[in-house]
Amino acid sequence: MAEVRSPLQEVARPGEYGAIDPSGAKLILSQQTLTSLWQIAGWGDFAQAAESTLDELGLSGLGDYRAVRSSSAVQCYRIAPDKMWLRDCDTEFLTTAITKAPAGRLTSLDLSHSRVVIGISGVGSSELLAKLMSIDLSLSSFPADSFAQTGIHHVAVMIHRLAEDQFELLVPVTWAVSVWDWTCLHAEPMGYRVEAP
Amino acid sequence: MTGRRLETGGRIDRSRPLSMTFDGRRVEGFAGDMLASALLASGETIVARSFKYHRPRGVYSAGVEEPNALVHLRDDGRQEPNARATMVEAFDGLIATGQNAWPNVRWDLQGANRFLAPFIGAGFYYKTFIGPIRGTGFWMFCERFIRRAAGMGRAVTLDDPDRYEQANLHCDVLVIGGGPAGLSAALAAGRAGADVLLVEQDAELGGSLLSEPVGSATDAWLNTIAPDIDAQHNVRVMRRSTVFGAYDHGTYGLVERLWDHDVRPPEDQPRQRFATVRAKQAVLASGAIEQPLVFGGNDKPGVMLAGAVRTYLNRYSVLPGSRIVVATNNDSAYAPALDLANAGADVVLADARTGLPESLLENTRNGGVEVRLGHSVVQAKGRGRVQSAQIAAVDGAGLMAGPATSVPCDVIAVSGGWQPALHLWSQRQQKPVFDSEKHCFVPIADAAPPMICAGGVMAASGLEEAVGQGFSAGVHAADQTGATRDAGSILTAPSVSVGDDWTREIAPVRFIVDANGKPKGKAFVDLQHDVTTADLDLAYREGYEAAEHAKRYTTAGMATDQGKTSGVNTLAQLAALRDVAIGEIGTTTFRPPYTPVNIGALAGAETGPHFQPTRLTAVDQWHRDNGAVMTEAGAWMRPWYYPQMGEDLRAAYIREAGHVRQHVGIIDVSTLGKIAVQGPDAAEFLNRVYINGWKTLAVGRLRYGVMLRDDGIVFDDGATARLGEYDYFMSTTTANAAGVLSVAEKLLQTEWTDLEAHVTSITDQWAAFAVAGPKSRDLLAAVVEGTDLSREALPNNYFAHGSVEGATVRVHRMSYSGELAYEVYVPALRGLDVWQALIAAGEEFDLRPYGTEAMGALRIEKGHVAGPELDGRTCLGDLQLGGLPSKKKPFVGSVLRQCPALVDEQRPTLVGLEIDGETGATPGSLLFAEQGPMEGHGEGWVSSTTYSPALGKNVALGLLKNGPNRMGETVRVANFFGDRVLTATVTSHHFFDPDGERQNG
Repeated sequence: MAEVRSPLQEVARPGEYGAIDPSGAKLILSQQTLTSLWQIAGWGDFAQAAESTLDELGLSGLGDYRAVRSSSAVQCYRIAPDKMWLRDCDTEFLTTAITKAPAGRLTSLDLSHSRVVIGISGVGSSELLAKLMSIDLSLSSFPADSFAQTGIHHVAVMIHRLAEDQFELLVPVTWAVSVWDWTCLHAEPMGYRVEAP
Repeated sequence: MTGRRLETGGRIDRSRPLSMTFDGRRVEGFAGDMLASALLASGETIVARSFKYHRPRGVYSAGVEEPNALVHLRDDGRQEPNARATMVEAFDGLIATGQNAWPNVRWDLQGANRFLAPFIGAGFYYKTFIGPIRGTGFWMFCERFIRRAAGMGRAVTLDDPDRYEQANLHCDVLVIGGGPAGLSAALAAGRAGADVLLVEQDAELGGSLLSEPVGSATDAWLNTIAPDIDAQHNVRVMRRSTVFGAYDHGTYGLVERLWDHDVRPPEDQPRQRFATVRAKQAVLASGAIEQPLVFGGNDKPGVMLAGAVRTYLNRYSVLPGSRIVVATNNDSAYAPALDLANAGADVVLADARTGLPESLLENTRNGGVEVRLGHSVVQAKGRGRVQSAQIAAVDGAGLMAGPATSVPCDVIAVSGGWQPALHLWSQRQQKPVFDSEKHCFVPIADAAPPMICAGGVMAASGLEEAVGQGFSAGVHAADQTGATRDAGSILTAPSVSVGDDWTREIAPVRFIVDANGKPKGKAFVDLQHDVTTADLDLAYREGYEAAEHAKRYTTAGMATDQGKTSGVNTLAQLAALRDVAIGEIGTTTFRPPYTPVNIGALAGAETGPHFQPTRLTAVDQWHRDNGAVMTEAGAWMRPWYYPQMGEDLRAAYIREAGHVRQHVGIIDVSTLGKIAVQGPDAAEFLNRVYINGWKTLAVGRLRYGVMLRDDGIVFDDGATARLGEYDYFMSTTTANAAGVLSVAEKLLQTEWTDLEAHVTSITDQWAAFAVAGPKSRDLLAAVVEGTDLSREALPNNYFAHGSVEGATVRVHRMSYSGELAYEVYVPALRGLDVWQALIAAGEEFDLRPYGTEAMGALRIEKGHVAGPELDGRTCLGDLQLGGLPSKKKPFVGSVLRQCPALVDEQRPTLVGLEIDGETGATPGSLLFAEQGPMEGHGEGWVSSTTYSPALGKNVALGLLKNGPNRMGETVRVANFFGDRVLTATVTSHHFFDPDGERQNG
């Protein structure tokens, strides 16, 4: 049986690295699970076309471009006026929901193998991320459950803030090792711990 | 007598002695010292040699403006040239050496350059460009000597062992400068509730107040405001940090010197960090820089800025000399004079002004200072350092008005007024204006929003005004960001003894010259670049009257100090020469950086393996584990070849390509660009971007397509599969994947907004493997389940869905190699297991992996064009694709592809070349007819070359003028770089299986 294998499995080895503070690591890096990632897209009537699908998924309306919206079935990132990413949704359920849209008015695209998720948590996580990206991570500008599309080391990534000191990065799989190495390099001065997925 | 450390006083920590070396000699210091203060305290008089004449130079200032004391720091890979000793914090183990001197700065044989002075004045090297010998020969001859003799420090090529970082900082209010104005601004903005970032280049806050005597009222003020700022949790303070650049939209460049003050950083810690600061508002409180007086011998060691002498005395407890002449044209030099006298020095103060208040004079004289009004220093005398000052009466223009008297001294402390450090403000495309009362250029307070200036940079009249301006600026900046809290009351400025910078009108006396207007000896306007008043006179006489022209001709204001002590005097002399007011001359343009920035900090961690991110396929580790030699393909790493038993590249790729022709091979082509094209208008979109038609492509089929640029030049090619009614899978070349996506997005978002289609990169989603060779069908039939791969069920340019080891795959039947071949697409995270399943199943069929070199050999044999042919110069006709475009529809490039230049029959056209002999051609070689001269660019060029295992000879693809009509002709293949000329026979570019029997079989 062909297994799903993360590109990080060889490099994200559990342990403590860098200038670990005697009181413990300020940073924790990990791989997080991405069950599925689908893009749905439409055009000028996107809101109308997606309405029934979103209702089925427990979401109402398209939402804005910075706030992650969640239901019991899915997490939703509105990445463009007429595009959304739906994360960790049961594929069959999602496929069924998409059929609720008027024919030809909504497209879907499976991107589940296109991204890996790197988790960054701990009191030093904002400080680390400030070395990696230009987003203002102050809580007033980027509160919990915000997301943004940005870049790390020239690679396009999406960042999702789960809590004050907890973030996830959605990183393209072919760049993932490079982004992981880059992240670790900048975490070394602070000391970090890699946790098993 | 030279400088010495006083027994008491200063802000140094005497409990922490430091030991350093300068030019191998031991230098003692204390924690809190700068290298410059330690050198002065150790009696080091000559610390550098000048740029051109190699004249001895000593410490001149106590800050970023230092023009003289440039030293080379550290050893091994940490070496750093051109460090300003005034900005280098002393630390135990610091190694410093002199530079631009041989054998050392004390005894520099290159000092003989002074005898050449008449010949190497301003612009002398420009003159070598044009004479005295015609042509550039004379310059070429002179250049080697000029470059060796002139210059500053030399960089080393050793790897820097330290790490550097980059970061991003955000704030509401950025306060630049931690002096009295900056501290007041930070306090006010912080109290008002703004998120404040206070940046100070020094290790300590206080700015100019740190030069006040220890225990004075200013210390009490600092001791009050510092805790108040610390109590503001919304105020971040960065010391040892310099804002060096101001850019658009509130963006600033900042360097934080984290561990420059130690031998080496602790393990894992960066030495410096470059930060991009994004601030809604900024308060510039960068203070002012004292300006020199210009007189003969004003560059001798021992001539220093008066404020610097006071700093060394009060902050570092170093008395630079025992007999000191202070020359000034303003009040600010009175405080240094009094402090020096109080420390035990004999002090004579020569003030070019007359008519000063008696109270000031009485106070000064009572402090033990001899005051000579209406006098100034006309010449510094001494061998190797100042030994006396020639003092004379001067008139209001600085001309000698009486005989000079010699005053023995070891230091001449000068103050020619102050110039606001407005560089960052001016970097915002602002021109300062000249204040004819304060005799300096000042910014316009609100001309460069969101930056506000406060304090010394606004030529505030004194400490009280500076503090007031700072506080108001902080309140205003915070208000602009929406902060609403009450900033409270201002922290009243402390009183200072005498001589705030601009408390009284200064005299416009900058040049002290004889009655004929000539300096007595060499008088330097720009100390760092050895630019004298005579150089500026010469430049003016030769027509360089404008400030920008004179700067470039003489180099005044260039180099590491960027004219911080020379700019205003240069402008003043030009103004005098042109007989206009200095304000009419204007300033030269201020550009970042304000102070020198280490390249390492700008590069950050983007060096070595992290120079750019690397892209890896799902099978990358397998390739490495199985002996592949990897190669870079853009950002990707790809297997180049898999050597067996010591094979070199040539042997390996010939074997691999031959194996594909005979058996079956597999190559990782996950790097191909992959784009999902979706929507009701997807076919119309493809119709517009590709030259051929797409509306008839049935679901389940593939089609090769070519794209043009707007100008008709070929852009990219690839195959696109129709997966569903509104769903297409486009592939692009590896090299152009991002470019094609970018163009497609641009077209859809800006020009074809009528189309309902989306393009999405799915390069990461899919791994892809090409399986090629006569046994490829048998292999795939053995491993792919759920589909019929027979010739009948899956002809060329069709695809089918199946599975391998439970993983869904899509098998495209298409060939790049000319063989019976397939591409297997698999969701990327299952890619490794599917690849391994194919490898395992392939044992029975003698499956071998092959690399990009063999892939190239195969496609050249087949005559497929690739990157070397799609080089941004070729059109469809050039590539013999002229029959491909649809005549029924417009597409990108369809108009201009028919422009006369692109349909010229004489254009070089794709041909095959069978190379004679055992040596293959080199790509880029030029093609010439068999007879005739080999001149110019020839009749074409070789684009791709390989040894063909199938043909058993060296072949190449090339573009040859009128190529199709020259089949069978012999041409010469010239590689001028390798000085080698081969011959070749022109053939069809389809070397192998021209009828496609194998790929269609």
